[in-house]
Amino acid sequence: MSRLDDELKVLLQRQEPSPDFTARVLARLNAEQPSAPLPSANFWQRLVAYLQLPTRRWALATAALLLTAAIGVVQYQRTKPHGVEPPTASAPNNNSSSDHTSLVASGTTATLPDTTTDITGVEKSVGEKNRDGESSPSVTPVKDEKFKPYHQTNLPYRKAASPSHEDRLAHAPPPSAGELAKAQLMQALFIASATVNEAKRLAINDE
Amino acid sequence: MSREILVRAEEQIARSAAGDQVAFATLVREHQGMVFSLAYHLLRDRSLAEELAQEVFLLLHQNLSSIKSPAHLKFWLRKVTSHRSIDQMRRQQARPQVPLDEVAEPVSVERATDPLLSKSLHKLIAALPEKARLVLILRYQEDLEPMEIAEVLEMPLNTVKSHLRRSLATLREKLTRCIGEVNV
Repeated sequence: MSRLDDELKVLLQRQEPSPDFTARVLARLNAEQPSAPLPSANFWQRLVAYLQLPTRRWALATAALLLTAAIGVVQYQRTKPHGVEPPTASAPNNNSSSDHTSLVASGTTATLPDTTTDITGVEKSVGEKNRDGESSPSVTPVKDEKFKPYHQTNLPYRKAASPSHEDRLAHAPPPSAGELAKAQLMQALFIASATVNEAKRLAINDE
Repeated sequence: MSREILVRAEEQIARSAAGDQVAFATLVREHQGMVFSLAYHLLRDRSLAEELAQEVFLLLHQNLSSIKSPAHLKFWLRKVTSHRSIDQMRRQQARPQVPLDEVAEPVSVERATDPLLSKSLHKLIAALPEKARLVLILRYQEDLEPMEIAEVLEMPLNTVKSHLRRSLATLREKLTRCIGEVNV
């Protein structure tokens, strides 16, 4: 054993911490030990506690009522028989030469008039031979002002050719039952939402 | 360690693991010197060493169920303290170090050594690399064999031996250079 070894042994000998070291360790231990978890209320208990206030009870009852009513309306709309039949091609065929478009639009093969109109708007009789002497097809483009060159039309100016917004609304097909139900559902939901908001506002004021 | 003491130590560990705070306080009192000194000799800061020692004992309380014997308890404490001290030293490296001169001398037994030699040795040990310093502290403070040091630090035996040999050679050389003709 050299002198250096002796010196190192003396220099690196064990030393004691401050006298209250053990007490501080125990204090930290007690402070850091997790306390017993509080018995947590389940969802329903918390919900009941939340709805203790009378205003909230009323709000909840109103919201439930409105929701039920909305669901009822929707179900009624679904089960109700459709009263309005959509227009079909079996409508009476009192067609004159001016009613071509409705027949073609309905996709029927109803009897066409004797005269047809080519793309340039010149009326030809059915079966009339074309330039090559062959018989032209029996179905030709319908008579429509917009297919004519502009100078051949009777339109005063081009803008009048397209239907206006009011015309489109007037001639729009009636809304289907599904669309009606959807509109009523949206209305009911809007009312329910407004009622719930009002109830919430009352609850906040009540608190 | 006599059989009676061994049985008593085992009982203390078992009672501490069962939640007996008095038994745990006895365990802390028995081992606080070892844990604190290891941390103090490495960190050279009493308050930091006490803080670290407290954390080690709190960790021990959480892991008491895994302690199998008094020997295992000592091994566990040395290992955890060493690793935590090294972590602390690495964190501290960014911060300014407290000069050795300003470190308050701890309460200790009177030494019959040369104060100049002691002071120089303190500085030289503090200047050693962290692993080498830890090996030296475990060797001279805890009086551990290189094999035991290797187990605590999870280091190859030859590395421990080489750390020891190199550290002692450096200390001897520098000490001779510092204080001249002192037979070290």
